[in-house]
Amino acid sequence: MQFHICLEGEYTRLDNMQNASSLKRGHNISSIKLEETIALGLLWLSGWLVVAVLLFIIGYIFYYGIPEAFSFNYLFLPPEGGRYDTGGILYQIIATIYLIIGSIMVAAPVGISTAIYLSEYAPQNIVTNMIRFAIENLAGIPSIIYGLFGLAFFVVFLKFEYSLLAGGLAVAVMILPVIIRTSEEALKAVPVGYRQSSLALGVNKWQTIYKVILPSALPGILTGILLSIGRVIGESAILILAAGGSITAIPKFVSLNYPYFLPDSARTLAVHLYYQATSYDARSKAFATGVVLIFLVLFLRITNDAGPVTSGVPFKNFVPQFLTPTPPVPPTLSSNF
Amino acid sequence: MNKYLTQKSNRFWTDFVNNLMANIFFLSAFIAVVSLFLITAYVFYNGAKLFTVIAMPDFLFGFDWEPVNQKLFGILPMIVSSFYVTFGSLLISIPLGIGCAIFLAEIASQPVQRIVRPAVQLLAGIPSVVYGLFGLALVVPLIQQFADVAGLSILAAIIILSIMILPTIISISEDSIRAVPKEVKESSIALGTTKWQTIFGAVLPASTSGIITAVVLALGRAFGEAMAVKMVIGNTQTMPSFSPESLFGLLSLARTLTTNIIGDIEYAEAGPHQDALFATGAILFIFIIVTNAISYMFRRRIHEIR
Repeated sequence: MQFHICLEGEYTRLDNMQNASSLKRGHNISSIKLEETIALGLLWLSGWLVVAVLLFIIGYIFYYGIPEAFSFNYLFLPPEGGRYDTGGILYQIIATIYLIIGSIMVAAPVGISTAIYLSEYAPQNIVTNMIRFAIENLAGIPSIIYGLFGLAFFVVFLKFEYSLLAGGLAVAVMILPVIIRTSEEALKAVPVGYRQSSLALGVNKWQTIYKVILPSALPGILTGILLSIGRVIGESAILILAAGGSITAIPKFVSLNYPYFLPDSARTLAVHLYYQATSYDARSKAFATGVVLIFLVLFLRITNDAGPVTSGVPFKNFVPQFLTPTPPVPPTLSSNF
Repeated sequence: MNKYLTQKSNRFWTDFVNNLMANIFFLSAFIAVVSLFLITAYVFYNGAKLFTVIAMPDFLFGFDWEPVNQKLFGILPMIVSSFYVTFGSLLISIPLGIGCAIFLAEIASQPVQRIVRPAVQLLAGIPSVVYGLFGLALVVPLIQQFADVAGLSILAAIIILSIMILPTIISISEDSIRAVPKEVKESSIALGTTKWQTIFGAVLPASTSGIITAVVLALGRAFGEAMAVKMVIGNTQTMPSFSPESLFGLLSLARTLTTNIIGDIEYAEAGPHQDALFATGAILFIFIIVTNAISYMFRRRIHEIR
């Protein structure tokens, strides 16, 4: 029904446009040709402008950051004297790794289980709608709200103080929708025949999921996890609000005192970059940190492209997507953001 | 007999695990609901505590933010500059983004798409602080040079934000342009239209709701972006001056709702000041909920057309 209305609407619109153009310009073919050239030229320009902007930004950061970034002293020495601008970024790299481990360890099991529930179990009822509504909304909340939540709930209410644990848990909530979405898409791409053949063998639902569905959805799920690792690396607002900005000591992973995991306040690379960039005498160091961040993002991107999106063997071809002649994956609305 | 018994106990355990896992999956799924509830509750509860100290209108429509000395918590300048920055960046990125989406969906050949699309995805993956650094190191000095002002300005924030929200606009618009039924395009071409006339007259109108979704989502992203904006906008708590000398506010320093939180949280003490920051977050949250709802409405319409 909707479809027909749409079609008819198009016809009338086209009619109007043609009438208008023929009345105004009197069947002037050259003016139509001119309009065509200008319009297509502008579209072409806007497409390539986006590429140019990306290359310019990356090139600019690399130009000023590369010399510093690839020195042993910068990557593997601790920051000195509690100042922003001296020493290396060893503690920040460690904090970033801890944060990734911590937040993925929380978000991946919960996210994948949620995806399994939504794709395999969920009945059409109000509870399922509520869950979907919540995920939809969590995905749209800006990170600073997660930061405020982390501050009020984890830091103050649960008394974690400013710590990587508080920041990591808030970040885990932030990446939850990403993992749920990608995992659910991967699970839905598993053919129904697999499920039916497994169930026909007299195997129960959990065994089917564990032995049949999860293995064939694994590459897609890994894609989601890589995507969210990228989000964790780039996150800064949440961590400034919930993890603080200490750089005085090497962060601990476990501790004997109250928040038993990740108890220290620490800066990840992104937060460190923020402090470096906003203090004027550390600008060159900020570029170096930026290079490290961009390299991590690029690395994740290439690893992600190397594995197919929904089915097959993970990491089959270790070549970036734009170099391989694979047919494009049909676009889905929810996969890209 | 013995064999039968072990089978039966196995059966019991497999059934038990099966049911247990079903419950675990449901509970995990419910964590999303609990998180959303907790986030809403904590932000709004902490924000509401402010209104025991000052009245709501003084907060929303107050011109002055002097939280430490005078206990004045007016966020009107921040609301104004938030909207200014958001719509300013949309003004740049809507034409560019939709143009790029059309280019990707209708014009570019396969090899070209394989260059442009990863570029767009990478643009989305670059951390916001890197954009902030870029703005601080290049855009701000440029503005400083050309206009003889501080450089940190609304204009710098608009430029940086418009780059940051491009990927959102491009990817969602492209999806909706691709989702236009082939018949619409073919019937337009059959009328003897040129490629541009088909795009403008048939493809774009048919994908309007998708493009509006993209724009609304991008609006939400721009409104909620904190770090990059904080680095280039200067963060002064005064109303941006809309005088012609400062290009109607473009060149004046400002503070948005998000940068208010980031900037003040480092020294805010527990009490009205911190509550005011939570209240700022709550206002931001309300706006984001509204944009989410609008984009959700339009997204449902796309699915219906499909």
